[in-house]
Amino acid sequence: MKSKLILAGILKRFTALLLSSAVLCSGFIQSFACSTEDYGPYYYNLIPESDNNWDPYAPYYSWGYSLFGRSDDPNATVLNNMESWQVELKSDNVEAIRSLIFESSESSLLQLISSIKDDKALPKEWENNPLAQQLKKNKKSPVLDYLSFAKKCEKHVTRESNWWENSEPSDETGMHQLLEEGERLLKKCKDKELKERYRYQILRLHFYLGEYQAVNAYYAQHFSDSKWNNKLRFQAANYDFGAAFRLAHKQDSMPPAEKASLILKLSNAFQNCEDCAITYFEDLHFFNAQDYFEAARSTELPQQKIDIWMLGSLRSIPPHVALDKILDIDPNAPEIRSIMDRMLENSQQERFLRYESTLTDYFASEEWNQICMALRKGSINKKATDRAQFSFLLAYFDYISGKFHQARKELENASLLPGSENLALQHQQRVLRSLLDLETWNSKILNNAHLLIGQLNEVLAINHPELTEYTFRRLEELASNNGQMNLERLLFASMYRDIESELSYPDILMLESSFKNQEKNVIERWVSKNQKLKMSTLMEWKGNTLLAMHRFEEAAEAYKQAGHSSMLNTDPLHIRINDCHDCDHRELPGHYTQLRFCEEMVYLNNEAEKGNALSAFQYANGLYNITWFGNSRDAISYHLQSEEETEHPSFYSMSLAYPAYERALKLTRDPEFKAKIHFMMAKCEQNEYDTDGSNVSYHSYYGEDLPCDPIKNQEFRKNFLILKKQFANTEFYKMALKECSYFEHYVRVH
Amino acid sequence: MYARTDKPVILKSWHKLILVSLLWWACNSKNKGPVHAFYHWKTTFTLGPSDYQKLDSMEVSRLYVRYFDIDKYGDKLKPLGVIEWKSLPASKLDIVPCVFITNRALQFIPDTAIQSLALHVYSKIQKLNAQLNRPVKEIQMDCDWSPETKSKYFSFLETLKVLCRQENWLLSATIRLHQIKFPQTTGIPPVDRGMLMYYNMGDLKSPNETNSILNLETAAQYTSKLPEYPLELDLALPLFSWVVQFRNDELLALRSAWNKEDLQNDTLFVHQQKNWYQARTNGLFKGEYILKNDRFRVEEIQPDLVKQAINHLYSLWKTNPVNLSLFHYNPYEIETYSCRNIEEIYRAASQ
Repeated sequence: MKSKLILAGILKRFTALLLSSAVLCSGFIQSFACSTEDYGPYYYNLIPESDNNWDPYAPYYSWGYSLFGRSDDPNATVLNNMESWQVELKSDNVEAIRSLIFESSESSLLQLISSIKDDKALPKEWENNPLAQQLKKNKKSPVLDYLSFAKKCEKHVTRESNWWENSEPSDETGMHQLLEEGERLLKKCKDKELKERYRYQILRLHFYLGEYQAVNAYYAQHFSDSKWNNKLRFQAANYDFGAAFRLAHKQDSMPPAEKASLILKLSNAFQNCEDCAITYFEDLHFFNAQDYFEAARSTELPQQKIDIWMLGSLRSIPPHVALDKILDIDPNAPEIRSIMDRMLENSQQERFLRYESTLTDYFASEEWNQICMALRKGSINKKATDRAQFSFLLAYFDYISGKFHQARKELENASLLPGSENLALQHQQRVLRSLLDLETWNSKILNNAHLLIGQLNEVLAINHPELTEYTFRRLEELASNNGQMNLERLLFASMYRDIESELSYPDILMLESSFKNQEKNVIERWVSKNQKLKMSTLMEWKGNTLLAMHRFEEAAEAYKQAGHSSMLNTDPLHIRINDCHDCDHRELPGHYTQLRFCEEMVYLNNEAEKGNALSAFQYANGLYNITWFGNSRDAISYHLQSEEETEHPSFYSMSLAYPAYERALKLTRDPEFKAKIHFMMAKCEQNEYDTDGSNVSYHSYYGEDLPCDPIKNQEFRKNFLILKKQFANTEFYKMALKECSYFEHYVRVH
Repeated sequence: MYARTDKPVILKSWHKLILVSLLWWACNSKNKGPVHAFYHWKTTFTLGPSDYQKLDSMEVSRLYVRYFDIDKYGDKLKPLGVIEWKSLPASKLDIVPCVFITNRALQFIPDTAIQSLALHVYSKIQKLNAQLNRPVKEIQMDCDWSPETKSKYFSFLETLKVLCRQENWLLSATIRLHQIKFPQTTGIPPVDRGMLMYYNMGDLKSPNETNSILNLETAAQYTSKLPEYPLELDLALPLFSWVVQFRNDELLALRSAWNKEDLQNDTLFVHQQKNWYQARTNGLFKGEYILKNDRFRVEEIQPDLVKQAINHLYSLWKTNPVNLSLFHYNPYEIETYSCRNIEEIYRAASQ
């Protein structure tokens, strides 16, 4: 079988895994250790991610480009903005508040407020809003002034930065006027909550005016010791940090103590303000490791120290060093779990990508040693309530470094430690146990069907696709090494990913034969029962492959057996003077399946053989259209085996279409029809001209029209000449002259 | 943990005064040949009288000034490290604004946004130029484009070139050695002229590399097609040093503000063979966290090597470069190399 090739093809993708975890799968190493090709960043997440992803309320939850602090603490008593409005307005109607305060436009809200103050009827759009109705009852309420002011500020303090423009605000004067108005209203206001809100708006105005020193001063004066029961207090802290950060950027250098104080501001805002994500990790470049050390020294608050080590571990401080520091402060800090998750993720990703041979054995390095020491420290810390997690991670690290015996011992140890009752951890342990079982496999396991099938059933029961695929892959290799081709093929077909593009025609035939083989052993029967690829799918792939080989009759037969074939996007027999792939797709939506196309091609070819010129012409059109130049290239391009295949000359070649047009030419005497056929042949020539290698030049980068090479011109423009000399009187000739600029140019110049 | 010793202030001043005088004396000689230029690759422009004195003495009349970088920032492309004029360049200096764009940025940007990016870059340069109060004759794009980003980068350059015509700016682009060797693959950028960056030619990431900045043996592998390169080229040569930090034989960081003396004078490090050092233990050094066994390769440039590079290039070149720029202007490096040596480099290029 060509399955060795198949295997090689498949395994190429996984070389990253195989090489990096040499000890993991020593059987593979001999074949691939010398490979230096970059097969792309494929790796297995063997320990299921879903279980080590933290919930969004955990500290240092990350999403997209953002990293979030400790958010939505269920025990927190500080109100969020909506809650505080509910209290202020003595209303539970969240929708009414949202609509009036947060979602209203400036003009609409100002109109509403003015109507209330002037004792006029509520504007129509607010008539049914309970909050508007409530506000109307007290036209002297200080809330009205505040809402009006805040809404006027909104456009200035929520604008998105355009990094390419200057940072100056667009309406500086208007913002300064608002600042004055805010100070005036603040003095006048007696309501404590609204006074805090005025201050908050003033702080924001200063910030967006770029008055960063004023922001810091205003924050220090009004917010640093504030007891305001509103989370906007922490937003204010974020503006305080933002302003200080921008000022810091303008300095050539900054004393370590000042940078440390900046980190304290960041940690304060970050951890308390649920909306204040660190959006741009790039900003953390500003701080180096020493800054974090200084910051940690400058505070006595344990939580703040922990936050500082966590922030430092994102860029500047090795995670295990931060882990060690946090362990000293609080071995039960939830942040420890975050760091360990990150270490686990890195070990699964980055280390599995270490496919280039390096001089150092990473698992013997000082860094690896220190990581393991930090974890060991956690696992033996009697004060830690989650010692099992440390021990599990140690077991996993032992596994990826090839110390399987030690890994098993550590895994058993983990199940005895505090924290082992955690269900997610138990699931991870189950996965690791299965992975360790795989390491015991050798050729004997193929003769111990009972044991093997038991282990395979356990893998399926764990229900982790990556573990399943990895397990099947290991077994497939084992089958291959032991000459069990039938099992190997069946396992190959059992993979979870799409393997169609990797199958050659002989591979498909061999898989077909394995599927149909009635004499399967116990293991093969188990694999057959659990495989993903069905016979119908295999037959459709067979049809696709035969179609790409232009074996239309056999392709049709395979499609029939599959009971399905895909719909083509347009009429594959339609041609135009100027090819327009997208126009055909737009204007002639497809009603051909691949099966119908194949059947039509068989029919047309038969008719052509009987002397029917139109059928011969249409058959040639079909061949033309499934090349890269035609309107139905998708009929075969998706099913070619690889990128090399789509770049194969046959996909671009007119070697089938051109003689098919010649056959049609011989079958007709009609000059109009002949002209049309010659024109199609000329198009074939033009396509060959365009794909002729010697025509490529870097000058084409400049979009310059290169003069036609006279020799090539003669070689590739024979049909233009015939059309000009013999068919100039036909209607088709005139039409082609009008529509095709190449042809018009040729006729004019030659 | 800074290694340098503090000397009395007065001694420092004398030292500087003597040095500046010596530099002025050493460098005060006239030469013909390419325009003498430097790159200025910092975020703040703070050059003052003593800098201009040095530049004058080396007859430097052109500064290639990095205006900003373009990189992916979060989910957007952003101009990063935009130059801040703390002082304005001396009026006699010809300023060439330079913009560095990362491959990551080009990979990220959709084709449809290329024209808009060119427009943004053009107007950003215009705005920064406005603070200069003088006309600019040329702008330069710097990018180590790859086959993957080639078409986007070239399309970007084409648009930018059209915009440059409105201001009568020439558009130049940096060219790296591998682009000289493989023009068929990497393409020729659609610009008015190129700046051959004759440095950073080695395999920085490899622990087997001896000096990735300038290695004549490596360079020789790339220059055979130089005479055929269809773009008129200026020349940029290195005048900098750095320390390359490795962890487990993998490149960890480039420490451009560190030098050999820093490592030699700190007990955190132990000298290994040649230009390699190793960390004895975990610790902080110049603000960075060092792990025990981290390894450090010091890469420095000797003026003689630069002169050899010039000789090699001039033996190949049909037309000598119009501009010769050293990368980059750093008073510390100038003092290290001495103005006399630098002048000799320029002189070598005046053959």
